[in-house]
This record gives sequence, C-alpha cells and structure tokens, in this order.
Amino acid sequence: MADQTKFAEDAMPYMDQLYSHALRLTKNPADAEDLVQETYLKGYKAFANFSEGTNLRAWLFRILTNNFINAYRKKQRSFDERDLEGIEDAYMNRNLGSWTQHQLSASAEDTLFEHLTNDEIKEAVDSLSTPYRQVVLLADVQGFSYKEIAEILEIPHGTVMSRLHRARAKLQTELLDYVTSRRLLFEDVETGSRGFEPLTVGGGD
Amino acid sequence: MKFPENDNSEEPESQKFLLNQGQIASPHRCEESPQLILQALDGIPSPHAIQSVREHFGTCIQCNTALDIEIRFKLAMAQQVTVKAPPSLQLKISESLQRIDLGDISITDL
Repeated sequence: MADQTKFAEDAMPYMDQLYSHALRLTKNPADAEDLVQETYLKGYKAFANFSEGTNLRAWLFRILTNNFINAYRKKQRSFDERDLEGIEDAYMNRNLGSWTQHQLSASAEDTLFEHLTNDEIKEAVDSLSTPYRQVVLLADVQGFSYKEIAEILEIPHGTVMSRLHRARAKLQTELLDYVTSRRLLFEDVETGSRGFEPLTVGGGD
Repeated sequence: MKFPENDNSEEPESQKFLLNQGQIASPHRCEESPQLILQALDGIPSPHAIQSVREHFGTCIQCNTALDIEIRFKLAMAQQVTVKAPPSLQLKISESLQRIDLGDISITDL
C-alpha cells in the first residue's frame, strides 16, 4: 500500500507526459487540462490502493484513459468500438503480407521519413479513430509494452497488436499520400511501385 | 491490479520470445512477418530482438523493407515532442492536493 503523502512527489514528474498524451487524445488544451487534473485527483484518492514499487506511470495512464473514455465516449461518435468488433481480430490474418502493399522500394523508404515534417506525422496520427490513436500513442510515443497497453486499455494483448498493426498500416498509407501530394514521390503506373524524385537545389520554375 | 515494476527495465515478453531464436518458425514464411515485426518492436525495441528477426528474414527483401519501415516509423513517433503542461495546471493541481491535505476538500468529494 502506498503512502498518500508521497503521491505528489511520486506522481507530479509524470505531468508533462500525461498532459501531452491527453492533448493528443482530446485535441483541445482546455479538455486536456481537465483530464489531467481529474487524473491526479482520482489518483490521489486511489493512491492508498496502489501497490508501491509497481508501475506508477502505467497506473496514472490507466486512470487518465478511463477518465477520457468516460468523459468523451458519448461526445465523440468516432469512438465507436462496435466498428472494430470482428474486424481487428481477423485483421492480422487477412492482411498478412500487406506490409509492403505500397511497393515502396528500399531506397524510397530511406527517404520517406526525411521528407515528412513532425506536423504531418502528428496530423496523420490525429486522423486515426480513437482506439487506434490510443495504441499508437501509448506504444510508439510513450514506449509502453503491449502488455502494459493491454492493462491500461483493459483489452486483450492480441487486440493491442492487431490495432497497432492496423493503425500503422493506415498511417503509412496516409503518410505516403502526403509525400505523393507534395509531388515528392512519383508512381510508376506500369509497375505500381513508388519512388522519390531526386531533390533539386535552386533553379527550376 | 499490479503493473510490472519499472516499465521498460527489461525486454517485454514478445522480445524474450524472439530472443529465443529456436522458437521462430523456420524456414522464413512471409505471411508470418507482421507478427514477428510487431513482437520485435514491443516497448523499447531491443537491438538483439531486431537482429534476431532480421537474421530470420535472411535475404527476403520485402520483409526486411517492411521491418525497416516499421523501425523508421517507430523512431519518428518516438521523436515527437512532449508538450509541456502549462505552469497554471501544475499550480492548480498542487493547490487542489494541498487543499485536500488541509481538509478544505473532502476526499469523498472527488
């Protein structure tokens, strides 16, 4: 059992991470602040039940996630998990081998991320529906393991992996579309493969 | 509920599985690659787990490219900047916690 007087000292260092995550979930600074404040107050209330020495960061993210789901689920139509049922469990099997569906060449892959700005990556992540955005943010931005994400989101381990797989596939499509729309990428209509146009310096019209 | 102590202090379960290379089905089958790539990139990716998968892929260009894309993507995401909480929020939370300690707010009101 954790000592409640130590809560602030132990939990406050995670505020930036929690706020950053809340902001990515709510897409609104005022809502993110409310979400983080509620997380800390609920965390304080429940801290006596927290097992000292276990993962406080994951515990706080779980409280934040539950608060987010409770507060925003009704508001956001996009957060409709019924859309996912029956899809994601079968997804891995149906999409095996789809990793290189864009037939991006190895050299093009090297260049892809050099052309993308942080804002474009952020925008692509924000375009994901909430269940997918959550797993991507927890896995790739916050660095949680799949086991931890399963506990934070209270979903099966396999569901974490299938959502993540699907989310990344969607993101890759989205990001490739960005670079294609900026005419950084050309598509070979005969083979369907994509490659990067060589960057030109100066000149041109 | 208990969370594992010290997150990311050791390889996640998926990566332990990969590190035991005998457990990766041999020979390489492309349709199994998505699962292996996901396992290799669990939590903070271990270079050993990635190497283990890369060796398993051998000369398969398609699967090696898929792995590289996923690594690049994960790195790009990890480099996303953490937005700092506004000082006013820190103050608001600290004050609320102090008020609870002083008995101004009952914990049952939360």
